[in-house]
Amino acid sequence: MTTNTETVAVDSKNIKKKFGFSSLPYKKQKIIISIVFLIIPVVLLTVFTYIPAFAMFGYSFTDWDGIAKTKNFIGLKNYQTMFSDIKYWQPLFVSVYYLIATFVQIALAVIVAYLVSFGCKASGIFKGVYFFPSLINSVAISFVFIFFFRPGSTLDTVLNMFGLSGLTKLWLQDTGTNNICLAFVSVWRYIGYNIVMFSAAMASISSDILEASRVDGANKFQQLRHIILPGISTILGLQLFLSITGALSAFETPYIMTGGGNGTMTFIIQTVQFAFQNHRVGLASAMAMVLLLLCIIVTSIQNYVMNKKAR
Amino acid sequence: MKIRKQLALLLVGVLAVGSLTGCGGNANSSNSKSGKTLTVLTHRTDMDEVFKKYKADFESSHSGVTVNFESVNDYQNNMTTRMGTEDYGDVLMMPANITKDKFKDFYEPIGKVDELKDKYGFLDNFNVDGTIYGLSTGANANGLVYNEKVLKDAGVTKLPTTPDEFQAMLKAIKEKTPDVTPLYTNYVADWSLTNWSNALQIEMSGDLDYMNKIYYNKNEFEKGSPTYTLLKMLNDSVANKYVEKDPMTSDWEFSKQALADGKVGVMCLGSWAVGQIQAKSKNPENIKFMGAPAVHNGKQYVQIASDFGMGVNVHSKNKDLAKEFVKYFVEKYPSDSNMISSIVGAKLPEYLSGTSNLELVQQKMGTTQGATDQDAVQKASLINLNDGKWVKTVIEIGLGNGKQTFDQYMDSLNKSWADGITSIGK
Repeated sequence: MTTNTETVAVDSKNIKKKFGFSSLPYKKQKIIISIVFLIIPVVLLTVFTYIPAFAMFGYSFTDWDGIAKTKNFIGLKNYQTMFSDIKYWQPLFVSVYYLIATFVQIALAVIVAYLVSFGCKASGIFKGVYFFPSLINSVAISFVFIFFFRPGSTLDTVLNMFGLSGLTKLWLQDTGTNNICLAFVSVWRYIGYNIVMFSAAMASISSDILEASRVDGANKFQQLRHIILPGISTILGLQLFLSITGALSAFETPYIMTGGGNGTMTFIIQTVQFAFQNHRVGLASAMAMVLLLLCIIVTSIQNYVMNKKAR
Repeated sequence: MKIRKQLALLLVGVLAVGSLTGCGGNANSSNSKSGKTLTVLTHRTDMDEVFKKYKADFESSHSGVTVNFESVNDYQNNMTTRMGTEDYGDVLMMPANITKDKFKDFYEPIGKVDELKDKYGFLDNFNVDGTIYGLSTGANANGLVYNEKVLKDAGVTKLPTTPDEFQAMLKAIKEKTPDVTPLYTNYVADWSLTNWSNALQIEMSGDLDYMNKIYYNKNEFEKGSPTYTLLKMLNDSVANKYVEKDPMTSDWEFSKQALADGKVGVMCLGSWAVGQIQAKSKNPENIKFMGAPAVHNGKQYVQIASDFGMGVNVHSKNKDLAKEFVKYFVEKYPSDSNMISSIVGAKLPEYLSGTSNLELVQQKMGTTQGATDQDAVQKASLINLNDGKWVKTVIEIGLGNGKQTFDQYMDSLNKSWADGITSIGK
């Protein structure tokens, strides 16, 4: 009896050895592991990005309202509608505020990352402090800043404290300041992420080079200009790319804080409004396709310029 | 090597399909339980306690039945998306953006109008050529909620009956009691502004058929029309600074408390808000309700309109039980939520019953073709009367923001509206 079970056990061990994962040749193992690891992101991407995107491309040629069981093919009429009136394009000008804010944000982030990375005590704490806003949900941040900008609230109180009460105004009501305020919130929200990325890239720059440049008499600014910036150019390009597409498609901050009212309407808010308030999913899909095209164009220009510079 | 690649692809495919069907299976599993389950979708995120009682009550009279209430935030928008699937509960509040012409795709008929009209009121909105697709969960009066003490302190003894008197009332409040905000706009919450865009035209015009004609009127946003007058009233109030200092940071919860405490005079809201505001007030008898400022044959009209209807999902597995639940629900819910009961012969709420020169009126029923046209005009013109976004611009113009005047804005709206009507061939 005991011998029997032993032989079975040995057998199964052998079988395991023969057919187990470790018995496979290295190449096969590699393939299986890559598939297993890649399958999850690929499925997620396909289900939540590519299928909806292709479906949306299809909707853009229909008059679907998002509710009806039937969709009628109407050809390019949605695109025609869009190009028939300047009012559909006006929200794009609001993106200029966010575009400018993007450059401010990247520049600030580089400077802060530089200060935090080199010659700063307790840099870990600072990085943590700067990164923290990126961890908070955008919705929560937007609500915090609604209170921040409310008349007689935080911002006004702080200004009063410094004797600057003459500067207080209705920040979100004044069309001269409201987009700037919203862009500022965006900067505040995303800058921590930039800082952490940049300081990570800076950490990879060899201290020998910096040391050598210092011996040669380069000052801090020259170091930043000629060693650090070229050293982080890949990350810089990537961040710029992400921020510019982000600026073109600015959405959650203005959507929650002002609902796109009072001249703060961005292109995406308009799209969402057409899709879900006016039930024109077809038209909104066409607008989304145009925005996609715009993002591709802008980033290809940017890529082209960056590549030319690098050469 | 090639075969291996193909194998790998196959594996990817199989896994992908597996994960998809996995999702599908999960969604169905709750329905296959033994015993009957009713899922009830509502917009009331604030009534969990009351719904718990309904659940216990209904379950005790129907053994083996489990009722699950599910409250959905931002109900209209979320439901529209969700109703693209078959999984939208057994019983649900019927979102207003699904118009009559689409009812048969989404809801199970409750019965014929002749069988139901003796017991249930406000059936018009759910009546498609004699078939009823839902029962009203109560009705609201459209108009303005006000704090009577604020008006008395300002020396206003007679309710306004013209737009000018309305402005005069706000002015008196502003001058006599500078701390009080005469009119609170609730600019931030879109829905609150729809009271200006779609709720008061009948009271202003005195024409019970007005809301059915509006979709064929190419001058709806021109001077002289009720819609223009209403929006002008809002615009003037803002321009004269009779509203909150910074509408852009207004807050609904705050405004209810402020009206209850007499810090706000008037808000343009349905009568459903009266109960909520009275609950917050130390002197609830001060919170009153008025109609739009207009008089017809010596009476001020107050239009009563159905709130959400409650219907049965056409894909439900327990349709008969669901219908029974709808009938149970509409008997209880209106009084628990301070609305006018939809049961024929029920008593009016106190804040409406005591006023003598008010006349309660109901809109004339529209045709099914009318509902189709209404849907088409609103889509083509990109003006949705059930959405407050475009009303915000009226307030912004009043504040002096924006590059256009009120009349220019109305002209542009009117052009879009007229184009929308043209697009349906009228």
